[in-house]
Order: sequence, then structure tokens, then C-alpha cells
Amino acid sequence: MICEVIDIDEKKLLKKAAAGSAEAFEQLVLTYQTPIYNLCLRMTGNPEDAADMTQESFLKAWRSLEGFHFESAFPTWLYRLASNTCLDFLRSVKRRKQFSLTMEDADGETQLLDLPDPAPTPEASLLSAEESFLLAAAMRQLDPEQQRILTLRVVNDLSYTEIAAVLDIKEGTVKSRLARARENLRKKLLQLGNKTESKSSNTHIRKGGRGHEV
Amino acid sequence: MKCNDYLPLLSGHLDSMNTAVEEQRLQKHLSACKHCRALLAQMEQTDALLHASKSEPPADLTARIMARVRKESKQKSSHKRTILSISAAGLTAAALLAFVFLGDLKLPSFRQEKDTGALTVNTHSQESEPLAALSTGSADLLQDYAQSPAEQERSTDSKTESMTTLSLTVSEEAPTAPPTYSVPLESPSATEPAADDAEAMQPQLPSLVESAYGSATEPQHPNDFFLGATEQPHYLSQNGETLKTDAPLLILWGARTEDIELLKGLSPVTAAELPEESVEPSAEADSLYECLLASLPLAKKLSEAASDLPQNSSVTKYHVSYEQLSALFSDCVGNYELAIYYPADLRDLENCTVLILSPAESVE
Repeated sequence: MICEVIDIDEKKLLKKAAAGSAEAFEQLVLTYQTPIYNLCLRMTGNPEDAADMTQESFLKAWRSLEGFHFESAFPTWLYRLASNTCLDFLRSVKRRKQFSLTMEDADGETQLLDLPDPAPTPEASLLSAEESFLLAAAMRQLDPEQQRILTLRVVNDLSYTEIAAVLDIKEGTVKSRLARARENLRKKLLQLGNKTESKSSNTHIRKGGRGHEV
Repeated sequence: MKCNDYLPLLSGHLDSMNTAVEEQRLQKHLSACKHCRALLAQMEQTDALLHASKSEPPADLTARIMARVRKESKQKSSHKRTILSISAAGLTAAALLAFVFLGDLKLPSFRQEKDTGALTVNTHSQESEPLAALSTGSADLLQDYAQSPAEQERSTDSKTESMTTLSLTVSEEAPTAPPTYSVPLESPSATEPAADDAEAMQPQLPSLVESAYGSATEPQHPNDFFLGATEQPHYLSQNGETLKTDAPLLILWGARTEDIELLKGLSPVTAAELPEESVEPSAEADSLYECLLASLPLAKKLSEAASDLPQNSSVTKYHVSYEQLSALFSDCVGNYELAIYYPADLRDLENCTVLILSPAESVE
């Protein structure tokens, strides 16, 4: 949650941190790292990238703290910075092309699914491994902007007003965008859920090419 | 209104952000529409799934962040030692891990610049050094598995008998001592290629592995990975036989300590031995292949490091299909058997981009 009222203590911390105090900055990190991590987790889909992006975001924050003059609440600024960092990451072409699964379903049709990294590190959440995987896979098929708005609302629990501030859009737009994002995620989950169920039947998961045989 | 028009209201309902009028209209519709009731239920489940996905960040995250923060505030390092800028334009899709077996290899270490992702290479002495103390932050190890060099008839069933461990580190700061080390093989002088007659190479692997693992205690920097290129003819050897090649060679690997742990003591898998069936990587996997399935930082890291190819470097970029790529490696490496490992989940066979470094010329 972002509080509308500027936290006096936080303001002091920010001033110190902007002046170069790593200790002060560490307090800010401790306060915000979990929500920022969760934002990054849902946007990147795996714990490694999430940790990387969280680190990136805080580092960027550290570098540009001097330029923060309380035009917005600090959390707003931070969420914006972190989500933009994730967006850049998601949009980098190479990353997009990385992981895809070509699947032939029972009808012999080839489908291209984007799968997340089969992260060796499981997410430390309440979800089962399968649920985690499914969620990450479904999220991954969303437009990054949709991933973002959905995460800010449902995971980070920001209000429409706060979201509007982070994304710099009108509050009315928030509602319709959220609706589209939710609908999309719902659909993807359904699709993927069906696909994985049909695995046992005739679906043949085609493996990547064999190594070159010399 | 069609059902689709109710989507914003459904969503608004979940957020308790409908006006009284909107909510009323929604409830009226829901009482009459089974489809939308189902839709709402599914959306509630979707939300619940997202809620339940909230996680705690890794325990060392704060420490990692603050380490970077403190380092930044201390120095403005400007990576002056740019000798060769290399763009690891990554293996999209296929994320091939090509393990080539090398002996007596002098590899430069690479440092990845955080902002641009460009890699700069550190020069290092030509001397083989025994595994030295590892520099801070980057204690990754690589194990190269010696494989049977194929001769005229390619033997596809050969297994590794000797293992050569090479370790490179990629660190953020300008290295004081070159953080590279190569296996002190009993080989001819490092600076010049031996004669073509085979020299027996005896990597002292087991002890090296032990000592390397023993000192790999630092948390791994998330951007650490390895990219190697040879500047001189290199040797592939196994069973006392040595073959020499000076073909352009790309060595890619990426490993964090925990990944390497998995590889420790495992037998390598040759291309011919890759299982037909899809294999689920498991924690107890005892084949190299299976364990590699579980360690995926490489492709990701490479893609992060991608940046514009520098002007002066002698790099060749290929945009190839996987089949072509295999053939390409074969051409580059020559007669040697090449084992290509890849995680089972990467199945984009269409286009991979591979960066192949020809024997490097100095840049700048």
C-alpha cells in the first residue's frame, strides 16, 4: 500500500540516502524489497530474474535518489522505476525469443507456447510447483503492460488511484485495463491448464534438436 | 449489453471499485447469466492464484543489493582495460551449451559491464597457475569434460575419462590479479603450441575440483557467466592422444556454484547418448544431461549481455537454424566430437543466433 501521507521518518531516510548514506538506504530496501520483489517475480516469472530485477531497481533508485524531489510519494516512484526496469527486461528481444515449446497436440497441430524458465529455484510461496509453473507460463503470455497492472493491483495491492499515479494514466483507464488483463490471464490459464492435462494422451512434446552427432 | 461489456464491472467488483449503480447493474446481470457467473468465479480463482503467489525474497537479497550499493558509492570504475569488446549475442531459443573439450587452454576472463552488458576481456599471464584463491564475488567454476576427439571415424560412444577443470570468473570490479586460472596440465610450454605429436596430458582433476569447490564460498554474482575464446591453437585430448586445432571456437558455459555442484563427479553425456524421451530433471539426477536441464542461467545471461557488436572485433554472427548450427560447430571444431547439451524445455528450432569468435585480434 502507498500511504497518501508522506511519512516523516521516510522523508528523513530519503534525504539521508540521497546524501549518500548507505545505512539509510538499507532501511528503505528493507521496507520495500518484498513488494518490489513480488512485482518483479510476477513480471519476470522466475525467482532468479526477480532477484536480479529487484537488485537492478534498487540500484537505479540509489543512483537517482538525488533527483527525487517528492513530486510523488516515494513508493509510487519506486514502483514505477521497478516496473519499468522489468518492462525493459521483458521487452529485450533476445529474452523474448528464448524459451518456447513447440507442442503437437492430439489433433496434430503445432502450437507454440511460451514457457517460463524451468527455474531450478522454486518460488517460496503457497503455490505448488505446478501452479507456479502454470501461473508463470500464463503471465508470460500477457503483454508486459498487462502483467504490470495486474501485479500492481492484485499482488502489490495498490489502489486504482495509486496505480494511476505509478502508470501516469487516468483512474478510469485503470479499471478497463485491469479488466482486460484479468480476462486475458483467465483465458491463458484455462488454455494452459487444458494443454497440460492432455499431456498424457497423444500430445507429444517435441524435444529440442539433438546434439550434433559427429 | 453483451457479456463482454460486463468485464470491467466484473473486474471492478473484484476490486470493490464499482459505483453503486454499476454494482447494481452487475448483480442484476449475474442473476440471469450463468456464463458471467462462471466468469466471475474464474476471475476470483485467478486473483486467488496471484495472491497465493506472493513470496519472500531470497534471504541474501538485501545483502546483495547493499553490496552493490556500497560498491557503487565507493568507486566509479570505468573498466578501462577494454581490450576486446565482445557482444555475447546469445543463443536465443535453443540456448545451446556447447561443451568442447580442451586441454592447455588459455582463456581470457571476461567482465561484464553492468550498464551496457558489453564484455571486456582481461589479459592474463600466459602462465598456467594452479587454482588460486578465488576473487570476491565470482567463484564460479566450470568443468570441461574431455571428450574423445574423433578421428576419421567418429566414435560417438566414447566417454570421458579425464576431466579438465577450467575456472573463469567474471567480476564487476577491475581485477587486481587476473582472476583466471587454468588447469596446470602437464603440457608443453603454454606459449607455444606443441608439436603435432601427441603429448600426454594429465589433468590433475580430482584435487583441483576439491580445492576449487572448497574455496567457492562467495555468493555468486548474478551476472556472472563465462564466455571463452581461444587465441591460440588448442588441444583436445583424451587417453593420452592429442589433436590440435586452430579453428575458431566458441566456448559457452554458465554456471553458478550450485549448478556446478550438480555437475561434480558426473559423467558427461555425448550427443549420441541424449535420451530420446523427454527427461524431467530431478534433484537426484545423476547424469550430466539431466543436471544441465536444471541449470539454465546461460541463455539468460547471454541475452542480458547482448549489446551492439563492437566495430573492431573479429566476430562473426550467424543466424542459423539449429541444424545448421550443429553443422557449424562441427565445421569450427573440426573432427572433434562435440556434445551439445540443452535444456529440454527449449524447443525453438527455428532461429538461433550464435556468436562465434574467431581467434581474437586485439581491439583498440
